[in-house]
Amino acid sequence: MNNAKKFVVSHAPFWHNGDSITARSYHTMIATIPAVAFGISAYGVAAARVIALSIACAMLWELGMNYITKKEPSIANASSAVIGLLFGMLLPATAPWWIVVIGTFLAVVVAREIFGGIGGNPFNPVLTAVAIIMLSWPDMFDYYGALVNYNLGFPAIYPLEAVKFQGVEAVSGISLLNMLIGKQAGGIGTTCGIGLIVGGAYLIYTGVIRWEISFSFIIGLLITAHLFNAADPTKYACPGFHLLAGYTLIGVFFLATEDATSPVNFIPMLIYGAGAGFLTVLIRNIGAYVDGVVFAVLLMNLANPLIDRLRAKPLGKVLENA
Amino acid sequence: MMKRSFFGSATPAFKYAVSPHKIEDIPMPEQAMLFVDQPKNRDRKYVIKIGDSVKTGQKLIVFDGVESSTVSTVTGTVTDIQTYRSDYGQTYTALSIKTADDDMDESIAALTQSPALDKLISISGSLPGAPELSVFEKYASAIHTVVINGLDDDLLVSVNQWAAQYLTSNLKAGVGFLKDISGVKRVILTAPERMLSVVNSTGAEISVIEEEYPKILPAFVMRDILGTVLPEGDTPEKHGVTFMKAEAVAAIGQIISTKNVPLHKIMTVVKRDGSCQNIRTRLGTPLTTIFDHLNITTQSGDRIIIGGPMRGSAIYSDNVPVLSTTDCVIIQSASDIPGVSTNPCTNCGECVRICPAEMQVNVMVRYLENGLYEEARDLCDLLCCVECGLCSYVCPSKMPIFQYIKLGKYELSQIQTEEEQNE
Repeated sequence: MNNAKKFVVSHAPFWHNGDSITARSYHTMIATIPAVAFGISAYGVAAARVIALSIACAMLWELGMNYITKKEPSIANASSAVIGLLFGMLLPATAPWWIVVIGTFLAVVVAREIFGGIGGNPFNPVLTAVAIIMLSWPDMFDYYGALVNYNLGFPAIYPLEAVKFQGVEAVSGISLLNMLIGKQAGGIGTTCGIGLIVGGAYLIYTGVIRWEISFSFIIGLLITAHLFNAADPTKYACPGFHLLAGYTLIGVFFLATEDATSPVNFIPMLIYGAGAGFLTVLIRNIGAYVDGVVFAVLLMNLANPLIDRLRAKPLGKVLENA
Repeated sequence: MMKRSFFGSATPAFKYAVSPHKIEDIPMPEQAMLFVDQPKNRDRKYVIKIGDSVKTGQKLIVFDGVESSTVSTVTGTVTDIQTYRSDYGQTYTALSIKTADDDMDESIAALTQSPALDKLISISGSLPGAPELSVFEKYASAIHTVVINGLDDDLLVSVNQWAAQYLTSNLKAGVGFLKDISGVKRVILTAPERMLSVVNSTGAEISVIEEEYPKILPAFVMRDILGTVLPEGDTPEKHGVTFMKAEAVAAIGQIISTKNVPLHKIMTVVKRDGSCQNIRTRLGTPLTTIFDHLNITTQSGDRIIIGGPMRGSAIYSDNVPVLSTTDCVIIQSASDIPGVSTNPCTNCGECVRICPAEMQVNVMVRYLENGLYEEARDLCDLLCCVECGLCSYVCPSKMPIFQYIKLGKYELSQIQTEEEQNE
């Protein structure tokens, strides 16, 4: 049995379907293209600058953490590039460079790497960073102030803020169609509803995100918004408005569906999505914040481990006392 | 290999292979090899030595005072005695034999003249397909149902299908033999719809089975066909059901109907390019002989797999023989080996969605990675796993989930044995 040939020995299975973390990251980045392209066309080089810096910083932070923790560099799987990209999309085009650097640090290092890297984070890294910045530098997400010097060719109204403080009357000038094609103020990649929907459909088609979460998020949001709207149409906006305003669509397709922080079983996914939609409208309409997506998704992240325990018994599990 | 494309939405749904009609006979090898499932240890002394001659059908007694149930499948002279280590610490004594013309051992000739269950049990492990007849003895008359698998338990393999389609007369005799065993009430043959016309004449109760992998595994057959749940960690035999391969039943049938001992194994060979071929070869033929005959060359960096692509095991040497359980051999080029990674689980949920046993794989793998096998069993139902390998197949992190599961089960069985010994 002295054989010079050295065969590769490993455990079954000997096939793999070729899927990888890298492929999933690239799919997510491809899916953001329509929304980002619209943002850059609307806000110009300033928006491109924020996005590019955000991606670069996020990857560098991960590389730095790899170096400190003495691990193989893992930036090739592009997961931190996705974090950087999504974080950039949430920012206004006028965001200063230092907020991008701090934000990506919070997202990649604080929210993810110290919990053990990819897959270990209990909260969505992007939203954690946004939440910390919203609390620490509230002006950063004030799109009115940020976009005051822009001439966008359409009224630069941040619809959620207008509704919150001035009532539904204030946004009567913005039709839902205009919001769908992006004629509203907001983050670089969050305003173009149709672009986000196309991207989300692409992610569902490629199987990167779980459609149940997006679907139930939208349903939960529409039902809750409808109930509020029915109660007082002058104070609370219609369901379609809530669907297209603020961070809703990017939250539905890109943020709530983040792998590590969302459930994987069918019923829990529905509860998780519906809960996020419900909380979003609740915070927007009666909470302290203008947009509720950030905290709604973070709260559902918190509940995720508990919700995900709701599942069917596996095959072969029989009741002990039966 | 089935891969998902970058721009595709298809989730894998595997079908079992369709058996080709053609079968190629491999000539008798000059040098054969026999594995005896008894490792050498300090207390054991060899009674067999180099130069001894063995006859076809002769019981191979390797160690002094140790009974053996391994039967020689060739006639010849022993040229070498070695130890071969296999997966999970299983060790064999390997005998190399220079073959000569067949000379039947008298005891086996007598056995085939009047085959009875208790006599067949002693040689069943060496019959092609290795029918586990010993369960009828172990569980006395408690086995009431015998399920014959007309499909193979892994992809690409088409041995049982071939046996069910082209060895029907033997299969019929084998079914008759099984029906006569005391206590057996039902003999069920599972077959896909396209095979119904061929297997109808076997005398067994026919159950149509879906061709989708892994519907043939015992837990699913029991659920779908017998309507009972196999509780986690139990063997089907504990619930009065035993599983046999069609090839094994045909081998029993051959003894009954022709009074000859079956010495040839049907195998599927999967070449580098993925093409499958069925061959018939003498038990004990080294794989190298088969490769030479089929013009297959192997080189360092290849992977040679005994068994199918999902549940087989890779071997480190091609100088191993065809055993009674060797259904398939796959040669994979170095460039086709997907490899595994040390990436952590990203909780994407692919494994949970594909798991046919509906287990919580994403949580379980976290316990298994850290060696918390008992927690994996108690909290995540490790023992419910049917060992199909689909979780590893779809994992984007390329985690060796299936290996973790097998290791976890193995470690738990070791713990259990230890506890039993301490009592």
